[in-house]
Amino acid sequence: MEETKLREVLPDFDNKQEWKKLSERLHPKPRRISLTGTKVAASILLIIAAGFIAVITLNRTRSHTNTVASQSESSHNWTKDMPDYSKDITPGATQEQISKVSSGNETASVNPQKNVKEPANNQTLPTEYAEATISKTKESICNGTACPLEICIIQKIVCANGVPSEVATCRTLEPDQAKQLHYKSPSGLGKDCKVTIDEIRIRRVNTGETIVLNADSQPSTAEELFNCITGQEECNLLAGIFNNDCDNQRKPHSIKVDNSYGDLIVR
Amino acid sequence: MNIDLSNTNDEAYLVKCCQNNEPVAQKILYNKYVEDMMLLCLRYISDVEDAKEVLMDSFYSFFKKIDTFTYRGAGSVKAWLKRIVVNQCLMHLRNKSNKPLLTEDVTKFENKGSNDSILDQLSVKDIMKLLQELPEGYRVVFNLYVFEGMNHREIGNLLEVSESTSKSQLHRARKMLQEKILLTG
Repeated sequence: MEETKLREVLPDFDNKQEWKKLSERLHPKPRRISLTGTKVAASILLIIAAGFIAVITLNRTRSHTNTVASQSESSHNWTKDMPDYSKDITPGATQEQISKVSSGNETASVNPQKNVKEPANNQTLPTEYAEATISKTKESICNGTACPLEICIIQKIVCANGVPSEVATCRTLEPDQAKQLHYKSPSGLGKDCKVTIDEIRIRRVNTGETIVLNADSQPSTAEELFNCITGQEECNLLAGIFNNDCDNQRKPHSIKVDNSYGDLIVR
Repeated sequence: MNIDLSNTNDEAYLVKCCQNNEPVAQKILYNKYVEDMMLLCLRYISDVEDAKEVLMDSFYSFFKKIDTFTYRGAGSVKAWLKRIVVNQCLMHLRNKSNKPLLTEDVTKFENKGSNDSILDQLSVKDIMKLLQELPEGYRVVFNLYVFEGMNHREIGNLLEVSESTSKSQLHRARKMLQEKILLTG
């Protein structure tokens, strides 16, 4: 009976179909992930990764900006209204030394290492960052008193076969304001010219009261103060005494110039 | 190295290839035995779809277990495959009814002998039809005894019944078949 054909009993039995089923069961095909699905998944992962990186970058940028802003805030008065360096002779101040922190009024500061100008206004994110440093130059002088001061430096220039000329450069400093003083540097003149400091005047703007320092003044001479201002010597000088305060009240105030802490301060 | 198995009749070699999970060898063995095994299933299971399912399970089990098979000459593959198919059929019948295939039959009967040669006078189709009309228990015992060549002790062990139960079931199956044959005349 076994030798009989199945066709007699079950004519519609499909050998091939049954084998196909069995074969699929014996050798299951590995599950294939559609390429479209893979692409979508990869795209989503990329977007998430990009977003993550963007958030981290933004946070770092904000953190950096905040640091710079806080430093800038604290040194705001030191750098505000800084003079144009290109116009004035600033002995001892190289380009590297004039790396400044940008303030709200400054348009740009120079990165000494990269020589890249960056916007002072941090509304837009910069692509490069200059190292933020607080100025330590002696050329900037800060008015640490409660009253506006005008500081004038009077110099005498004597060139060979020439008539001596006197040059006065003045700078007004508001309370807690820092500026660079203007004066002529011997190195900026010809070899045959000689520059001397004749006089330095410190005038209280409100009252007009003035302290005059010259070669014979006490307790400090003009030259001593000039050396202090230019940073040639570490100093803590008593420049003089005002007899009245800002309101013209009779309250004597001593004026000291101090660079012993790195920053030149009048107090 | 690719070997053309399509014309290979060497069962030992085919078994070795099947043990290496070679699809071509599996297909050759399948095609060689599928019809016989389907007929075997149909003798036990009247429903064609159920029989196909059991056939599928049997071949799957055969190829999965072929690692444990030791080739012992011609016919050993078919014998082993038949045993698997029969077991699968019995398991299917047990699971389907959720009851034992046979209950103990305490009725005494006399084996007056029966003339199985009457079956030779019938076509396979008729025999299959008659077999499928038999009650499940009769059919199983009849199949195991007549076609698988098992004795009553073996049938009793396999179906977890006594020898006498197997004998009485076979006797009743024969009697019923004879009546049916006479009726179909």
